[in-house]
Amino acid sequence: MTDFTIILRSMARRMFSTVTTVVTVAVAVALMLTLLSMRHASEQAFQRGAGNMHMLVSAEDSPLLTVLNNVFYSGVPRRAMTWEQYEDLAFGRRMPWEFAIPTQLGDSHRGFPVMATTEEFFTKFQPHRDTQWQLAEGRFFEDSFEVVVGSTVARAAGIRIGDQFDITHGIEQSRGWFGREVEPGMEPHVHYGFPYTVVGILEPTGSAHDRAMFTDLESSWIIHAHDRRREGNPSIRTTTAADLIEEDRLITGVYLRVATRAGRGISAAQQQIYNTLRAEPTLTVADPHFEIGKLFAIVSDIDQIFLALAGVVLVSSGIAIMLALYNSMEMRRRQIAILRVLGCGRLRVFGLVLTESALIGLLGALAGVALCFVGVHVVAELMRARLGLVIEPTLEPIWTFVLVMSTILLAAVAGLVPAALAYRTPVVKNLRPL
Amino acid sequence: MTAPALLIRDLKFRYGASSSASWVIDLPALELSRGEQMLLTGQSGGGKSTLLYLISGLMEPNEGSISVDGQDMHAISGEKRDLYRGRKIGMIFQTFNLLEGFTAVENVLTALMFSDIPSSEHQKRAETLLQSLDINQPNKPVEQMSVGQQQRVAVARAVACGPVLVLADEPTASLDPDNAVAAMDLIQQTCEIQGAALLCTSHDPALADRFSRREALRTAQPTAS
Repeated sequence: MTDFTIILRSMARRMFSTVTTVVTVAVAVALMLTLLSMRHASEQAFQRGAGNMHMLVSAEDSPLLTVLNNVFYSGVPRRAMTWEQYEDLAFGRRMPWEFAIPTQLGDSHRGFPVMATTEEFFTKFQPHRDTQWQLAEGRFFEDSFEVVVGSTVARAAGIRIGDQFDITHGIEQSRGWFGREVEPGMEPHVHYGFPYTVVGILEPTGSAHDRAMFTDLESSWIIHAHDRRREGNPSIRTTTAADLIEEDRLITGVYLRVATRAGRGISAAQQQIYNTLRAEPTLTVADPHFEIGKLFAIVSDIDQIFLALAGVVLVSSGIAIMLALYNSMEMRRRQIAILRVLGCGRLRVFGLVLTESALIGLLGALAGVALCFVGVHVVAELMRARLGLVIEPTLEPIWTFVLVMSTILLAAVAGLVPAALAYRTPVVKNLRPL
Repeated sequence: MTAPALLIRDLKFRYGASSSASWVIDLPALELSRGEQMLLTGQSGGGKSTLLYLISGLMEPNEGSISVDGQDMHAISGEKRDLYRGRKIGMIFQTFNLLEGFTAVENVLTALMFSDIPSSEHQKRAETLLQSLDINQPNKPVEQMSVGQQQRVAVARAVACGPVLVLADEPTASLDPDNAVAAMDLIQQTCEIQGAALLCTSHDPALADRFSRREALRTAQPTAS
């Protein structure tokens, strides 16, 4: 028999109150830990999508929009660049590019964006640093109208190697088309007659690219050229590469990386090139890592409000502990009086109640850590499903330890008032028959 | 020379701070030797329970001294007095005052927690004691036990630490005559076996014959002021 046994018996006798108080603390701790772990993990997830590129060029209005649309597929780019502009950027300025990969967005299948690009996208661009693309099945595209799909797309849409489908102009349209009633006049524009064949399925990369599909530029140009030609002559049945004109060869972005020395992530020329491109009136140049950092700097203000709110919830849970123990004192006075008769001193009684309070804090904190472990994975799964962001939340041991210790301390402080009541419990009065 | 189990000298007690109030207890002297058993009678509300609380150090006297096993209870204070009480005095109440939610053995073990008996011996000592008092289900919660069983657990708890003095406050008041006899047999025999002095308070005249030493706690006189 130890003090701990007495505490456990006391808690067991007020099981409902104990459990609800522990749950209150657990929710507060889980909320706090989830916010702390997700904050870091989310930024990492966003940074991951930019991979090993140094710069991103588009014709969009702002660098942030450039990054959001061309790396995170958050919307359809509104402005396009010509192939001439691309060639000038990639080859005409003697800039020391390690890669300059053209990309084009604007079409989709079942709500998943289709990015038209070149083979270099898979050979030179890395979805995150020092990690190459990996195929789960099949191969990368080699010919026109071949498509490689991201892991999320394959899973969500049930796509397999050899499947064929027509793609849709725009993104929202294709999301609304499948399985839903569409209002007359709002039917999506499907690029019929040019079926794409799935030749590869990618391994997950933990980036937004997992919810995209990738094909070659020429196919994309052909299907849009076909639309252009049919506007002039609806009887045209097919279009080939031979029918392409300069106006058809459009792209919406260029992934750029400046050549670096072996083992180096950045180049001395990078900033100079960035400044030169920024001066171009027709181009928007963005440093993806910088833009993501900026975005998170904005978000961090909201983040801190959430953290403060979680702190308030934690303090409220401390008050809940105090109330639970305070209310229990009425039914515990007799037990305390008996303990005093048996030889338990006032200070020991004070310690028993304080320890009980701290124990509730400890149990709540541990349950909170467990709840957070589940919670962050639920949130991560939601973010993966909704945003295509693969977040790998980690519970920082130091933060977890600090939060658990703080919770115990807070609970112990909350136990001071009930412990003082226990200390002052009049023995004789409470020994009399009830 | 061995100190008496209980030695009271010029004990006076009254409720409140007013000097005009009557003494509730005015006891010039009382001595109880080791192993001696005594019945303290008196009318209901006559201060019998108060005297037991004064002896156990749970209440403070206005005047006089109370020594248990040679130690003046009121010369020590705080934690020391609580521990001394736990080790030297066993208390049995009319309503048993067992710890609810605890098993029979846990009730006895709780008393042993505050004793100077090595903790490695607690479990065996508690189980042996309960077994000797015919408690065959020591791990049963006390609230699930019969009144008679609860009484036995209360007695076991009172003598668990090997006290020199057992204070029994109206131990038969809530029992029917048959159970009262059994309870008193148990209390007196256990104290005898354990070598503890017994001071039993009761206003039940049926108990008188059980004790060779009987004293009546007289109603206190108004103070002269």
